[in-house]
Amino acid sequence: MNFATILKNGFVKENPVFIQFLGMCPVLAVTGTATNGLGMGLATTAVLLGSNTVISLLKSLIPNKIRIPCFIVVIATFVTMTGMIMNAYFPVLFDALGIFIPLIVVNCLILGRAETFASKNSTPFSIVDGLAMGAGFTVALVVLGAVRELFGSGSVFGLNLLGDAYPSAAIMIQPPGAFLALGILTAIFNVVILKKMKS
Amino acid sequence: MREMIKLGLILLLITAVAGLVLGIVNSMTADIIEERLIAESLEAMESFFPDLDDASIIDEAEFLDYDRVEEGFEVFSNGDVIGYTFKTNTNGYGGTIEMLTGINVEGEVVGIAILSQAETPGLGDVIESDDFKERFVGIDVDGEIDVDTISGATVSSNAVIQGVESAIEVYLEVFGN
Amino acid sequence: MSNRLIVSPSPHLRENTTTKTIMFDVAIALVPASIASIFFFKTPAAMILLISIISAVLAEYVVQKIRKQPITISDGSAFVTGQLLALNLPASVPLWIPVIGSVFAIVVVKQMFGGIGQNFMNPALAARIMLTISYTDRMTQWVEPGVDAVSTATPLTFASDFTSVQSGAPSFVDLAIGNIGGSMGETSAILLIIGGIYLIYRGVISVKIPGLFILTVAVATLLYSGFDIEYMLYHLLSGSLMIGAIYMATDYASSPVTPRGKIYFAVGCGLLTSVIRLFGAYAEGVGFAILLMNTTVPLIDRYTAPKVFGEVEKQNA
Repeated sequence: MNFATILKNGFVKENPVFIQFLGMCPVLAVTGTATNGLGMGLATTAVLLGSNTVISLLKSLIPNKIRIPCFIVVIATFVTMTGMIMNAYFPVLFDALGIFIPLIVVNCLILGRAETFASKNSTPFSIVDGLAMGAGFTVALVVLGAVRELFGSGSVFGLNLLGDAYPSAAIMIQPPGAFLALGILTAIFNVVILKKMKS
Repeated sequence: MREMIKLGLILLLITAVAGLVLGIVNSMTADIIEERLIAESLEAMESFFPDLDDASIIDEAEFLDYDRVEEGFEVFSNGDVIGYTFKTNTNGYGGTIEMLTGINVEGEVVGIAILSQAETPGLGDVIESDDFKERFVGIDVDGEIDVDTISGATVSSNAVIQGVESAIEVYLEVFGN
Repeated sequence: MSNRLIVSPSPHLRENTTTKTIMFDVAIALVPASIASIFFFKTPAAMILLISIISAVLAEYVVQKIRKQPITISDGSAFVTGQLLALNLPASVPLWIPVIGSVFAIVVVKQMFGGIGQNFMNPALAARIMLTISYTDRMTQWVEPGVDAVSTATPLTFASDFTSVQSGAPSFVDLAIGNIGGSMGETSAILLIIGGIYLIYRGVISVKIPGLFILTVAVATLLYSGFDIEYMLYHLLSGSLMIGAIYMATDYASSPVTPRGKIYFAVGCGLLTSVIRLFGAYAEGVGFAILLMNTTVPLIDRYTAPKVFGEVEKQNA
């Protein structure tokens, strides 16, 4: 195993959103705008990085029998910390993401990486894995958010791209639009990127 | 038995460290968060009471019985109380509507402000329009609230009316003379 | 020779019915309502019908060309989708609305799920709901029939929030012939029923789904209003109940196959429609009701499948 493979896995081969379909709740719920997608992605990455680091450091201390409660305590700590810091320093984002910040605890991506990677690999590898998976998750959320925001509000990152004359298709920033956009983007991801990887 | 104690101790150790870390982060951020909350409401309060020169948070214990009222502020001008502002949470069509209601000492609603809402874009979010908010200005706390709901946004309008009602209730029972 | 001798498993009943003849019958059944919409709403209605049909057929052609599949636009199903969608729109919509709706209906709802017979929702109806959610204000600007289209409320608005019909509501004669505000094709109850009778006569649809659907709504509104017949008739004749029950709930691909399943499906549609109309935030619930029931069709079919002849009931040990 080397750093390059771990990075590639996180971004493409095992992309948490388009391949593994992990953490669908935030993926579908907060991607109404690119900004929210980015905020959720970064918050998740911060938690993932923290939990991967600490769990890989503690892996010899944690007995196998109680590993899940231990992982959850570590993850919940980082989530609560992230929430407090966002509330204090990024209030707009905190309000926009709302209930989905505490819900990062139950994002199966994070527990999944703790269980399958951080508890079995060295700390440097685990840090890179946390970054790679977090980046893969963030990029997917930003793309999804950008597509939905573009069609649903005519803008990307709040920047009005399509002009005021564009009639916004409000369905795209509502729940049905999340499913439509995710389905179509997954199809494109599979066709374009996986085809390239095979050849 | 020995193993169980060992496992328990390890879990205790981890949770203790976690608790300690969270305590530190909390003490670092709590003040900033509270200041921000006052600052957020201050802007709206200044629009309710143009003479405002000071505001303070009312002790939560005063309105603990009122579920919908989240925060209360006393508004001062030249050292005298000129009115109160209450932050309320009510359930709209798309989620919680967080809003402020300003009531002056004469017992008159001087304005409302929507802090956050998740109503349907294009339908329910008209509760944020000035036209709708101005319908509440001048309501007497002793009288009936007679505000027309917006057609197509009945649930959202009613949630706002409920917020004003809760604010008036607290004003009358706790602070009214 | 090979065309004369057909070797196939039983049953050996054969009929000349094809997708093409069925779709042709549906298109004919919709003609009276289409003509009425043009008569009541003039040129805009004609333009919307035309553009909606053309873009539906074109969308089907383009998708099948891109996916290198056999072109099936001559079976008429895309034509009917376009026609149905147009009749579901208010006459005041800008002309890009039917284009977006038709493309969505054909590309997303129909072709992405595998084309004709594979769609799990009625394409025209799904497109209408998509448009209603996306462009709420444009899709609810109902106009009164006539040249100088004046914006108005649909008759349902006069009944939706109340337990009796409010004053100012249009008369029953206007309701029945379609001289009221509403979508282009849903206003004329009588013409839609005539089309439905034609379809039943031709054996294209069975009376079961539309009949039970409408009956359920009738019973529910009657109970809700405390046996106010006027109120019940109002609910039956206004909104998209007729067009939905006769033309969209009966879609082959998205309604149950089994006779018992059809009953559950129709009653479910009727109940959901009544609940949304009487208690929901939207004045009209037919569209949502049919789409929701569409998604339950695989389940309904599974549990109502008749027993295979000779099958032995499972014994409890």
